[in-house]
Amino acid sequence: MTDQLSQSKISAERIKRTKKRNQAEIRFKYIGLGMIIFSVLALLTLINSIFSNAIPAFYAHSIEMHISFDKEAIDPSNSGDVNIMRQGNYGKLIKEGLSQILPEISGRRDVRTLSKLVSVSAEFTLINGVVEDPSLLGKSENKRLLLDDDADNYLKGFLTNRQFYDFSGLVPFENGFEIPQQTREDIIKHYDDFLNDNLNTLLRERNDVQNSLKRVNARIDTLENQTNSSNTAAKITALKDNGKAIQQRFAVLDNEVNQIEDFLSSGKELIEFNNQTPSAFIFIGDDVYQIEKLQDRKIQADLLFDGNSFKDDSATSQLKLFIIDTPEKNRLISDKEIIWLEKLQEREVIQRHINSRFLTGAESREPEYAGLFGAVKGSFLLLIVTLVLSFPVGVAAAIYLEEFAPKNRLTEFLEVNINNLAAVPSIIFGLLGLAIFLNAFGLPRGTPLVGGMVLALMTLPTIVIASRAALRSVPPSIREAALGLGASKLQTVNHHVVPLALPGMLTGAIIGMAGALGETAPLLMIGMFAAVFDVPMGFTDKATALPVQIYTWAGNPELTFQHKTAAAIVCLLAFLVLMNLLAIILRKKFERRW
Amino acid sequence: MIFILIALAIGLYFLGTKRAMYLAGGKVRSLHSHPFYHGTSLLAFSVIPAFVIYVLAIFAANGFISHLTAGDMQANIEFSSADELQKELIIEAAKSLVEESATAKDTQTTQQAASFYSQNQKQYWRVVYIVIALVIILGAAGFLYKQHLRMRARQISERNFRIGLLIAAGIAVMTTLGIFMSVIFESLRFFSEVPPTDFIFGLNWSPQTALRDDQVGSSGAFGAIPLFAGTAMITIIAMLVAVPVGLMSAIYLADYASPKMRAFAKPTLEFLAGVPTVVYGFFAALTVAPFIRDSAGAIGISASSESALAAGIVMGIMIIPFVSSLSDDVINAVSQSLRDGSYAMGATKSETIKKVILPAALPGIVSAILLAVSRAVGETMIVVMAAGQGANLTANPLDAVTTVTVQIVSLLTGDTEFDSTKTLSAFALGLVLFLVTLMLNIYALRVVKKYREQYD
Repeated sequence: MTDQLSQSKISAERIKRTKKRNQAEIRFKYIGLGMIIFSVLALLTLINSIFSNAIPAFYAHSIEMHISFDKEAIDPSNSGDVNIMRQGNYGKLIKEGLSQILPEISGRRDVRTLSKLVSVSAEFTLINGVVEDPSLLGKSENKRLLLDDDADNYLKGFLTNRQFYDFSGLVPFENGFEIPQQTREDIIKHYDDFLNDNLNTLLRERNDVQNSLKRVNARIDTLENQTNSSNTAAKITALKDNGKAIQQRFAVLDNEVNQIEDFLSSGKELIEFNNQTPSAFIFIGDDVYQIEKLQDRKIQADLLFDGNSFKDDSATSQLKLFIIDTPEKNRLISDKEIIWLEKLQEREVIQRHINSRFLTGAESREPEYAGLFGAVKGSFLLLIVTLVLSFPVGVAAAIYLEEFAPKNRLTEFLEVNINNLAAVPSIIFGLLGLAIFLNAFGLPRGTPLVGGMVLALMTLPTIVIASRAALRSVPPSIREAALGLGASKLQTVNHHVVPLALPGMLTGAIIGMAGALGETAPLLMIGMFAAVFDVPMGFTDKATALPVQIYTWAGNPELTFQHKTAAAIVCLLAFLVLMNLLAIILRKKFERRW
Repeated sequence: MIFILIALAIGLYFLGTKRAMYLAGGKVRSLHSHPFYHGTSLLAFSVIPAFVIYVLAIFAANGFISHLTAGDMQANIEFSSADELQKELIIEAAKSLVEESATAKDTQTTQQAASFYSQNQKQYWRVVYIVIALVIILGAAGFLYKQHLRMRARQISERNFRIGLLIAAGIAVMTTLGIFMSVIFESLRFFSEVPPTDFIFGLNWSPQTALRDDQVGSSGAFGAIPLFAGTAMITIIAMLVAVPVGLMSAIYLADYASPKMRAFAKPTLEFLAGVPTVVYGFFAALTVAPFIRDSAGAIGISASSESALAAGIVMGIMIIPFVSSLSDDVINAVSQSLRDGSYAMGATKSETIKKVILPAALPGIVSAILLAVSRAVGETMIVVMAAGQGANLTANPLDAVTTVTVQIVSLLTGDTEFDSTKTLSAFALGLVLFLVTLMLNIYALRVVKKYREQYD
């Protein structure tokens, strides 16, 4: 009886313990799984953030216009000299082309603003066209010119939210219109959304200010409770001043919050529009009116774009409400420019197309004109130098260490050295290049030659290690057979071992090259950093490399450069994937199991 | 010149082989060595030494010509009264005047130096070409004179080939030596201006030296503690991410994952390892840093938009595959009998891992972590793009900090005048970085190697 009791007690305890152990087991397993999921998620986020930023860089908007290559503007003296042609007034040609499309715009300032919607680089396009084919002079031709980056980004939808609403039934009266109830509600909806966003930001800021005020007060309290010395008194006055400033800021914020809250809860009798609110427009036929005030259903509006439609036709013409959510003050493109862009789109001269310039052009200061080809070419030249220098040397070193080296201290030292070199930070190699190749030897700064030399030293250990592994995998029987037939040691190695190990060595070399392709820091050190606006033609031309270009573009504030950076990364990753695929194919095809 | 050498090499090779055949009367059998070896041996005595001389001459040209020019310029009063730094600058200007084009800044002294420079340059290359020609002619003539039927040409060329292999293997050592020399010489120059104690223990880092001597704060401050602290903070954050994730992933993949899961997870980790660091830098600056700033703001803490946390986390992600593949090696090296013994005693998988395998693999794992630390300390692009420039001494991971590598890059990527204290300080930082990573590597690699051998 007692036996049974104690046994059941033991088993109960045992079951409990087993349960606990099993739980621990499961917990451990899921922690492991969670870690894997974390890595996968990190990779997915990385890829997502790169690709979603990269896509806009692969297309662009251009405007097609009729350019008449006026002799007066380009080559007034009729000299036929290319250098004079380069200095012609191409901006004027573009302005004339634009005024054919939008004849409604007059006034010098407006025309200039309008012409700024076209990229500065459009002039280069025209110049190149004329220089290549001088017979264009005096003729006229349809040309497709890139838009400025801000205009391009607006059309891609990055600068602001915008929306069109069709409606009908507009009653004109003295400097205004009466709009249908539905249209009024549409406007108010956008306006409310904007105010709510604003309110949230203000509330958060007010909260922050309130917290810091509390902290200051608490600090004052603790100081006042302490023993009074002149030091603490001074501190307290300083804190009190600080507190007052915070209080004032709080009052300002509070006031703004109250205003917005009052407005939101009111009947919204009068809504006023300015450059700190969303903008609203009414398209009547070809005319565009900008709404300034909305009172009940009556709007007061200004004629922003005069398309010669008549106000009184408003009942019959096509009517559209157009709302831009971001306030004019907070965006890179003005109301006027947006309306002109919309008009240009209406007249079907703006085209969206694949941005071939991005892959074929060289670097430029103009975001919309900058291309990647110079950097790709630079990287290509770099890799050639790297491969030519590091592959033979790496293979030779591996052959020596694996086949000839006696087992002694010197060999061991060599081995330790190579392994350590593989783990030295890349930036240190940059310092080596700067101090020795550039300053001591005086080799040309910022060229693929020097960059390739530095990268060759860096990839050398990778190639040596891979080549040694490849040599080791050749079975000794091959060597013994060759030696048995009377071949010398070197003949054995050169004629039998190395050919069998070559695919493995090549695989190692490709992987080493892939690493070199992504390397940035040492190249910055040896001056491959400066902006290079030409495609490098040789090993001693100033050049830049793909990863360095990514770094330079990433430092630019413009949105277009951000997209181009991501797109350049996509190209870099594509090259890396290709190289690794090549290595895998090579391995699959030539790998022999002994 | 290279093309001339290549053409000469081809010509001489055929000369060597043809002459061997001629000596043998057209019968290969009667030669001791195949004509191929006669040809290559001839090259080894003529073109190859000439080529080596040519390459050395290219490397030595700059220093040698500048030295000669400086000697010639002693007659010029303005030059001989200038200090060393100015002398170097004048020579440098003369060089660019000769090689590129004239600029408006050129003074008479520079122009004089330039004329000397171009004279010396011509003379230098004349001498080099004569030497090369002599080497080729004498070497080839000597070989051809000695060439005979029973010549052991194969042995000669094999010996030369072997020497070539040894030199190739020695390049790694020369690289290490080169790195060491390049950082140590510049660092010594730096420490002659700034005492090492100020550098290592100073709390203030502001290397911007003023342009004119009379400006306030013209000397700059070179206390590197804020940089070391920033580097340490980012490294610690990176390790806090990379070590648990990397280690647990390795364990899970080795002991728990289904083959399908492994086939999916392994390439993912490898892909993370293959992404260039500049991409991680962009990711950190574009996505992670704003995310951290906003989420910190949402819970009412202010965070810098270049926070140490963002750089550290992304660096950790970068190092995950590194830690996991090294730990995988180490864990697999623990002998199966230990596992079997533990299972036989009724331990669960996780108990076996925690109580048997990890303790047995601990030294290996520690050294894997040390290698990862060395990686993190030397990592450049992520911190350059995502951490700040200002040297703050802070313990708050949401503040901007700067690191050793960031400072090296920012000190050396401007338009650098090579001898200012500012640029020299970059080399001192480089020396510290090199020594720290070297020590970590030597220690860790030794342990890891031991593990690999033990269970091989």
